[in-house]
Amino acid sequence: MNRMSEFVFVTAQYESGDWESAPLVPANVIDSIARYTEIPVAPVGRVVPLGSTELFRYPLVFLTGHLPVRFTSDERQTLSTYLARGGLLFVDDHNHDVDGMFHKTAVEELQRVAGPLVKLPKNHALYRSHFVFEDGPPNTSHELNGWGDNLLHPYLMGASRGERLSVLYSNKDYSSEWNFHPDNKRFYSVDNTRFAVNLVVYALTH
Amino acid sequence: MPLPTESRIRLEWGLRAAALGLLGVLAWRLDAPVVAPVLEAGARSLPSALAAATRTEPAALQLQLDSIPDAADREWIRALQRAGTPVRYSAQANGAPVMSVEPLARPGGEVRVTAFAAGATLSLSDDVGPLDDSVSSGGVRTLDAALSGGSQAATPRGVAKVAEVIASQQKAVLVLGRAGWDGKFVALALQEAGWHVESELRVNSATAGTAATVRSPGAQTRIDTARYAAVVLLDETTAARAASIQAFLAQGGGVVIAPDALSLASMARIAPAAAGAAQTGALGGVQSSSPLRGLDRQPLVSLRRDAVVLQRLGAEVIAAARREGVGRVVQLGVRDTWRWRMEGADGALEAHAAWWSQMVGAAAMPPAIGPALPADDPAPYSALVEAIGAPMTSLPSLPAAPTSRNLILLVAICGLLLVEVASRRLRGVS
Repeated sequence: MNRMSEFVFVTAQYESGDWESAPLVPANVIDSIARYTEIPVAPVGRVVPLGSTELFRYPLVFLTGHLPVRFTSDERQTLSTYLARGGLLFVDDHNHDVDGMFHKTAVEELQRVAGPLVKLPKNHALYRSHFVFEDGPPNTSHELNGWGDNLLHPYLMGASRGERLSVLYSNKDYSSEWNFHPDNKRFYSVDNTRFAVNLVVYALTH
Repeated sequence: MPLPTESRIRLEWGLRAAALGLLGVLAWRLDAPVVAPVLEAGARSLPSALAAATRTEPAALQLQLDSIPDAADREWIRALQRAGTPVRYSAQANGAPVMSVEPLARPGGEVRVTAFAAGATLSLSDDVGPLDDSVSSGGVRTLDAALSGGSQAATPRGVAKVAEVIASQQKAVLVLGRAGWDGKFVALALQEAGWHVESELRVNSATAGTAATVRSPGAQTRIDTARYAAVVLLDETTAARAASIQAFLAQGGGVVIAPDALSLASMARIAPAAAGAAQTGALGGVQSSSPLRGLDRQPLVSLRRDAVVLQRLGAEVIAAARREGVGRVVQLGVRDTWRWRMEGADGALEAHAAWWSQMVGAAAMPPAIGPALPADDPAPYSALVEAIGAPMTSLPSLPAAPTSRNLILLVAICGLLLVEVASRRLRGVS
C-alpha cells in the first residue's frame, strides 16, 4: 500500500476564528477508522491552511470553531475549486447554537462558496455508509444536556453538486462530542465516534 | 457492240430470277421472329435505357457505367437479367465508396464511421448535413460522431449509404476495490464522462451491524454482460470475484486492471504485460502539461505478443490492451490518478474524466446493433457485382442492326428490276 492511498484526517486552518478548538478530534476519528474498518489510515492528522493548494491533496477536510467566520478571498477561491473537483468539507459548529455567531457567519460564507445548504433526509446514504443510523444524525451529549441553544437538531445540512455532497454542515457540536482521548472510549457502552466512521466512509465512496 | 436480242432476253430472265430470289430471301427474313437490337447505355441514360429494355426486350443490354447505380437500379438490372436479357457492363471499382458504421463503447451513443474510396474525393454526411467540413482524397476516412439518422459517403463514382444504427443502450461500468480516493474518483470521473457507473467498495471484513462494502444503488453482486460492459479492478480486495470476472470476460465483457490489482494471480495471467519497477511521480508533475508524470507509476514491461499499446509516457508503456477470448483486458501502469483531478492544473477535472473514459472504452463491450433498415447500401460496387456479376474490362462492338440488312436487300431487288425494265424498253418491248 503506497502512502498516497492512505486516508489522512485534515483540519482546516482558516484566518478568522478558532480553527484549533477541538484538538483531540483527529486522533479520535483516526482511532475509530483503524478500529472499525480496513481503510489504510495515516496515524496522525494534518492541519492545512484553507487558502493553500495543499488542500487539494486531502479530499475530506474538517472545519470547526466557536467564533465568527470570515474567509479571505484566497480561502474562498481555493475552497470553491476544491469543492468543484470533488472535495468534501465537513463543518461543525462547536457552539451548538443556531443563533451563535459561528453558525450565522459560517453558513453565510459556505452559501457564498457552495450554494444553498439544505436539510439532509434521514435516509441519506451518509447514515448508512457503514453503521446504520435509522434516525439520522446521532444526538450528542451536549444537545441532550441542554447546552448551547437547548435544542436537539434532528438533521444535518448539506450543499450538493449533482448527487455528490460537497459541504456537510452540523449544528450538533460533534467537535465537543469527539474531543476526548481515544483511550477513554473504553468507558462508553456505545462508541459515540461511530458516526465519524460513516462520514469518512461516505467521503471515500461517494 | 450491242448484245444480240437472244442474249438480252436471257439477261432479263436472269435479272427477274435474281430479283425473285432476293424477294424470297426478304420474305423469309421478314417472316423470321423479330429480335430487338442490343441496347447500349451510359450511367446518365440508365433509367431510360432500363425502361426501354423492359418494354422492348432487347437481344442484350450493354452498359458503360462511370458511376455505380443505386440499389433500385441495380435491382432493376438484375430483374432484366433474370428475365432472360443478357447484361454486359463495364465499371471501375476505383473510386466507388464503401462505408461502415459501428457503435462505440462510449456513453452518448457515438458511432465510428469508416469510409473508403480509392483515388476519389470522399465526403461524409448524415441526415442533417455534412459530418465534417473536410473531405479526404482517397484512403480510409474514420470519424467518431453522434449521428442524426442515416449517413452516407459520396464520391463522383457513387454513394454508399448506411441506415440509422439503432444500438442497445451502453451498459454500466462496475468499479471494484477498497474504499479510498481512487475508487471514489474513478467512479466520479466515469460518471462525469457520461457512463452509468456502479461501485462496490470494500470497507472491512463483515462485522455485525456494519456494511462490509459500500454498494452504489443498483449494483449487482452478479457480474455479467447483461448489465455491465466493463469492470474496473482497483486492487487486490477483488480476489473473491476472480472466478466471476473470468466468466464475464468469456461472455465478452471488458476488464480494466489497475496496478494494485495485478498482484492477483488470476489477473496477472490475463494481463497484457508484467508490472515493472515502481516509480515515484515527479514533484510538481501533476500540475505540468504532462500530468501523468507526476503520478506514481509501475510501467508495463514484457508485453505479450498480442498486446496493443494504448499509451506511452516517453519510453514507458503505461496502458496496454489485449483480447482474452471474446473479452478485452486493459492494464494500467499509473496509480492514484485522483491526484491528477484534485491537484492538476486548469482542465484537469475534464482531462482525468476523458482519460478514464478512454481506458474503459478500450475494454468495454460495445452496444449491440439492432437490425439494419432497408435503406442500407454500404458497399454499392460489391452489391452491383453480387447482383449482376463481374464487369467486363471492355465491351464488344455491336453487330449491324438487322433492319439495315433488309433495306440493302430491298434496294438490290429494286435495282435488279429497274435494270430489267430498262433493258426491255431499250429493246422496244413494253
